[in-house]
Amino acid sequence: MFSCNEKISVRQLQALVILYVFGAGVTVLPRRAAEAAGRDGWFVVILSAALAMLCVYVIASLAAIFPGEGFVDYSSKILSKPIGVLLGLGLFAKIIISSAMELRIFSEIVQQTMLAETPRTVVCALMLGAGVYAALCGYEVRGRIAEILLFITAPLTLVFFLLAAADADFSNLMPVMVFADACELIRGSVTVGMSFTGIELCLLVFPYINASEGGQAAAIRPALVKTAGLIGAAMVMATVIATAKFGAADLREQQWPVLELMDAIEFPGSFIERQDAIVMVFWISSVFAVMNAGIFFSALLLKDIFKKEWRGVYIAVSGALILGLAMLPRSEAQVYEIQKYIFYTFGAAYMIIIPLLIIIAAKLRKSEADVGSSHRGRTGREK
Amino acid sequence: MLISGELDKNIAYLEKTFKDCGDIVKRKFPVGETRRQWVFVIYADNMTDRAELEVNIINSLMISVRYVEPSVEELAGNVFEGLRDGGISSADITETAEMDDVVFAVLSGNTPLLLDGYKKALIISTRKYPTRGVQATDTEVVIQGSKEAFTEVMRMNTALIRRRIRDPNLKIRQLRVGRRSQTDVALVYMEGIVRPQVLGEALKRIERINIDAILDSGYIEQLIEGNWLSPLPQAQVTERPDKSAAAVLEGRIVIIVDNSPFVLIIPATFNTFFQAVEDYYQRWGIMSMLRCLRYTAGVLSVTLPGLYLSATLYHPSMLPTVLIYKLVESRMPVPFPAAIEVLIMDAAFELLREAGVRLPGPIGNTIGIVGGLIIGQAAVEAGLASPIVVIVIALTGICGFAIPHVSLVTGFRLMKYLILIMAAALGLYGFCLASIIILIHMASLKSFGIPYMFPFVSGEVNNYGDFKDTLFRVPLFMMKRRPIFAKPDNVVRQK
Repeated sequence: MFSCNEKISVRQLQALVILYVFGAGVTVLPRRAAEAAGRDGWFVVILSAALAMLCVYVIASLAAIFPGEGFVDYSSKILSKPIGVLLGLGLFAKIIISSAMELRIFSEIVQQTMLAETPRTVVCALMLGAGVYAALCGYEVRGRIAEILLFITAPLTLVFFLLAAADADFSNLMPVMVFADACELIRGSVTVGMSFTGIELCLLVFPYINASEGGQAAAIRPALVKTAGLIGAAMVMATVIATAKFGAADLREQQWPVLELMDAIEFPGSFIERQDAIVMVFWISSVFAVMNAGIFFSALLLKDIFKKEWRGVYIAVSGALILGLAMLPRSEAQVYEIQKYIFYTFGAAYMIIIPLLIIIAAKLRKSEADVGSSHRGRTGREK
Repeated sequence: MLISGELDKNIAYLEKTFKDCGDIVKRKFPVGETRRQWVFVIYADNMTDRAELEVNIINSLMISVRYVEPSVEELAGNVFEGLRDGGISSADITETAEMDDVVFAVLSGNTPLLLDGYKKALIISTRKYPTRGVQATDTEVVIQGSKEAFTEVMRMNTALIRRRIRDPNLKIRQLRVGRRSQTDVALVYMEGIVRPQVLGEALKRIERINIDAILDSGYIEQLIEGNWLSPLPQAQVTERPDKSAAAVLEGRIVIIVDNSPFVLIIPATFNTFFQAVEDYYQRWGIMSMLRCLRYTAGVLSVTLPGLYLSATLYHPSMLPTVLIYKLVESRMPVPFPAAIEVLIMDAAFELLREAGVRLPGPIGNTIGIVGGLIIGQAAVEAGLASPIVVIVIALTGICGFAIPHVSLVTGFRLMKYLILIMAAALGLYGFCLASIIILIHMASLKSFGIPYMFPFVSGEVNNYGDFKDTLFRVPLFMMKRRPIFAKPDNVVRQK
């Protein structure tokens, strides 16, 4: 029987992460990779994927230490309540700003390709409306939506990539591994790691996974690492095909290389002349996944911080904030600047630094407690 | 109220209760040689088996008992027991001390027998309703398979299922719903296969119903569904006994409502609405192809008008140049905007469908042909609609007819308008948003605890085994396990 306990399965968590991270990151990834390492961009993506797997491993390790506990709860327990709340607010800000910037970019693209005369606010508000509706339906429903969206989009995306690969010139990738500076490569992999931003949301999911407390870490950690690996593999594939299709030099000039890639595909015997609008369909589903997650998790954080069951209010506040912030940047360039800034500050912090610090602090606390208890035990026996 | 020991008091009560009820027949007469023991029978005309009544009750009491030992006079004080055990030749006799039971028995077609000096009555089963008998199915026609359909008589319907499953674990739990109608409702399920939580929930929801009358299974369907706002059906409706028997064997519950030839099957998922009973009677290859076709038709029946509008109004560059020329040319004489044109044609189609359903068979068909061909052609020639819109609307309608369950198509017809309006306002963006909203709604639905979109969601609960009967139907020998509806400890149906 399926209980209404607001919990999702590990498989549903994987679907959510794939949609959120892959959907949001892949559209610009080949350009970032080409900017970082030219025709060896795919290698940079492999390094970024490895980094992402490491981050996910660290984040998932928290589930082993604090099974069934929320981010604000365990960071308050380990680092004191004010710091826990502060960290929660920081993550809230990161989610809201990232979602807002993603929404802004999306609205720009919609205006460029589909609805030139529709006000940007309307485009954004409608997308947020769908996100709010999904968030109001709860976590279980979000998990199910992710499964359905993945069921529909994953095979189609694969077909798109295969068709694009069939028409690509793989000599554009040759010769391989000709990068001059290894440090440059590592720096590049960090920049490309921006495409994996979003995995820090895994910090918030542990209490909502349907697994026994003991088995939670055992189930979540390998699943999340595998998911990050799978996303990485798909991103490497996208980068390889895009580089082969356009060449590294052209790729640097393209704003949305994956969209260009899909648009350039010629379907054998196709009825459709241009695919740009259809390509947008894929992107709309990804942006929906991002908005939905953004609203849901920011509302969740507010609930954890304020400890009040005002889900509807939190969701409304999060939606309004995202909409307001999405309208603020003056240009697309400013949006990218903000995105970069958020990634290098909040993103990096929540993806690896803060989880590592919490783990270290938890271990120290535990060893202190062990020493204390053994000391007490000894003195007790002496008495 | 309890039955009185004085027969006349009881008769007076019944006379008062059935005052101005012309169909109720009453008869008081003496039994035995000395004619001192008075009895009273009451029944509803034409709801009882007259032959059974006259031969086995009236004849037995008036004549036969005189020739059977011991006589009524010898039984003094035990006449009630004597008549019960030997005076009336009927298999189904019950006793009651409640006057309400007597009244209900009369209204159900049974015949109560009251005796002077006894504070109880015998209720003799004599039901025989006017019925049309088992006829061929109208709404779920198959090429290969049983032609039988349910009827309005509940007991006949339970027999049609029982005939297909000769297993004592087939349980028929009977309830009475409706304060005034006192309609018989039966829950048919397989003990040991049905999930107890689902059965408990179904019973709870039915028992919660507090309405004066249940006139059709549609009442029950609407009163027990989990989400009344949803346009999608949350229980399957069928008139086929073989489909109901198959559902029962899968662990689902069939709800039979007296006076309705349509039964409900719960829980229902989106996938079950694409399954036709014939899928399992014919070879898997062709049936899998048809299943895919049905799913495609289902998607098109919701999305096609919206897709047409978004492509022609907002993204004509998607279409081949030749087609754009044709479209422009065909739309030239049409005075309405494309969205209004689609809505008008769709309304015309819905009107034809409604008229076709309401009119008697041959005239209904004529309306379809006249409406579809002549009016459509005339509308195009008059420049009121473009040929492509006629094709789009007709194709949308035909796709709806390809889905085996009408209730799902009804939901699709409503959802189509959301997509159509959003696509008309915002092109493909609106189309996608409307589709996402529909998807969220479908993902949020549950039917008696089972996610509506199962196994497309949460499929791992059943190790994705239910995928064997979704877009494709695998060969029967591979369908070894029952679907998600069955109790987890009893899922093997084939070894």
